[in-house]
Amino acid sequence: MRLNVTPEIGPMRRYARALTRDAALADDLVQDALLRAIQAADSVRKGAPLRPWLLTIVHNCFIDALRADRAETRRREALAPDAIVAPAQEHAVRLGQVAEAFMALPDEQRAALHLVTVEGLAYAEAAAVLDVPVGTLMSRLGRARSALRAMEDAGDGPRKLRLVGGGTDGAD
Amino acid sequence: MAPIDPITEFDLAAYVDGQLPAARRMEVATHLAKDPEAAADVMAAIAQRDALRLAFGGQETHLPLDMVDTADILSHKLTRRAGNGRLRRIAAIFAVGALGWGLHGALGPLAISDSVASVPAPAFVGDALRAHQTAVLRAGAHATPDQTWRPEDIRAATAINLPRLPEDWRVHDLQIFPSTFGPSVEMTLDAGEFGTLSLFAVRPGDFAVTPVSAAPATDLPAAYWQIGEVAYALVGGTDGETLHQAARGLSESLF
Repeated sequence: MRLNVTPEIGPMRRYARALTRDAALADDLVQDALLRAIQAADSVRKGAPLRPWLLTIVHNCFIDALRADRAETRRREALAPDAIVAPAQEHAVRLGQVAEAFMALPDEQRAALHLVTVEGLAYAEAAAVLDVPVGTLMSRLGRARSALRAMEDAGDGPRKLRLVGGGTDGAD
Repeated sequence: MAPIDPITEFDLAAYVDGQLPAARRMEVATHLAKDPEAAADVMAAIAQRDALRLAFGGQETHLPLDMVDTADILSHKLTRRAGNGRLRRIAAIFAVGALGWGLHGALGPLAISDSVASVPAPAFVGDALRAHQTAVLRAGAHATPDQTWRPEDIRAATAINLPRLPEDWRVHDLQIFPSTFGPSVEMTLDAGEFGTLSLFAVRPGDFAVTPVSAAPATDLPAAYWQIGEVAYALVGGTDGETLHQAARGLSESLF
């Protein structure tokens, strides 16, 4: 059996961009995660699916980088322009709004929503990546969705949403 | 109508995320059909989900090379780790199949094929030798040589070209066996002055064109070469030099 990590680079980069909101930082994060995965390869459970394992490593590398406070100011301000696929025609405005609102969510909510919605991980897998109980994952998902929804109901653009989504995720 | 469990917030979220079993999914849909307000909320959540997928789920057009290189190293390490248990299984069930792995190990570092150090695992060599010895035993047990095989049938079944054999060689036995990278072929040959030889055509999992080479010295001579995705090994006899010449003749018949 040939295990191939290359198809997992895409999901790793997408998740890293959702976490860092910066394309260059995200690529550094993925490279760090791959190197860490090489070191950890001997301890991975045989037959375990690759994607949740690799996304967990991306997540842990991100947390470590946050702790080290590396490039924190850059991360806060930046929005990765090339993380957003140019959407077509009339959806463009709406997608742009959703994308910007998503990027304005607190880290924990953004991570939860990305893993479940974009990568399609099962709740249990996403909870394992984030190292939280499924209940906590669900409440983060719920708050993230409400925040995005509030932006749409407000109807006048994403600038306002920064206020909605800017809080901390302390009520787990 | 049978009462159903109350529909919870969790059910609605799991409905949006496609994480409900089919039966529960149907119950939620039934509930939504009767509750337009809840249905509108769910539709909005689904639209939001699709917008996020469209915005962030795009496929990568190109990957940074350093990332691909690092991923390759990781792939190799994980494959090697996963392969250990599997290899033992293959060796037990298809003693012959193990030669594919052995060849893979021996063919990988072709540039240093004379070096014993280039053979990664002595277990591979042992498996290959046992495979041939098993083949010899089996050939001895067959009273009548098998003349029914046709190269075109083998090619149709395995996409492997078999070499044209010298006039005085006879096929004693021919087996197709599964291996990691596709079906492979083992032939046991009554090879005139050589006695019994085994010819293996296996898929080592890479693409190369390499000339006939001698395997690192063991007490059983072996020569191998590769054309495209298929690697060939000729094993047996007593004299490595004449075996090498015979192998060269077989390899030339393939072009």
